[in-house]
Amino acid sequence: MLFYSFFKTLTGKEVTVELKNDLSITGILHSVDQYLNIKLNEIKVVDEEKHPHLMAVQNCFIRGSVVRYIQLPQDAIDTDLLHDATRREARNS
Amino acid sequence: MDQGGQGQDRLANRHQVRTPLHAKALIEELDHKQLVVLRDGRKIVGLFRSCDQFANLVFQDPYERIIVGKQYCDIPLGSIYLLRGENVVLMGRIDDGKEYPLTLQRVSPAEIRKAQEAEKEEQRIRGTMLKRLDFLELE
Repeated sequence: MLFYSFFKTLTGKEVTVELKNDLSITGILHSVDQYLNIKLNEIKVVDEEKHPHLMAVQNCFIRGSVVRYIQLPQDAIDTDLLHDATRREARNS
Repeated sequence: MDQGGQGQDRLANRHQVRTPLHAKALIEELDHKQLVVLRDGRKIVGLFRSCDQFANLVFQDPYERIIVGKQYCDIPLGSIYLLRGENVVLMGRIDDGKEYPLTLQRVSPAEIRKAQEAEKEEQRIRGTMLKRLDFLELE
């Protein structure tokens, strides 16, 4: 559950989610659940001309299983803390 | 006997606590008009009525929105639709006022089917041409 907790600390930050169908969406992270399903607000599709159907959409729910990458804001992440948490998680399991 | 009962209680409690957690993100969207993008690229629009933790989704009065180039068409799919969660890519709430993209032009189902076929044919031709070019390069 490390990355679930990790993503919870990122709510309210702007992230870019790249999906397995090569669609990239930027938005404010609203919530995340245990499957790493993601909800974004104020979304913007990176290549909007190719996806005109998404112009009517402001917020979206993305199924965790279709996510390829998530680009995170560097200043919102403490890598040392993440490192420690990883070791702690490994010890506890 | 008693312990068994307690265990069951605990299980029930845990279930009660856990259920809203899974699906909370989806439950907020209930009874709103949604656009769903499927893994095969199809777009379904409908009134979102039910869901579960797998993101299986139920829609009322759904229609498929087909977009080809600058044209689009909505084709009704019946009255109730259950989408299996594994096919779902994303679901977004549609604002009532802004449902139809202004840059697109609405056409009849027959026209959109024709446009779809034309696009498919074009892609097929492009594919075979690329294959031939690959072949020439290998020689």
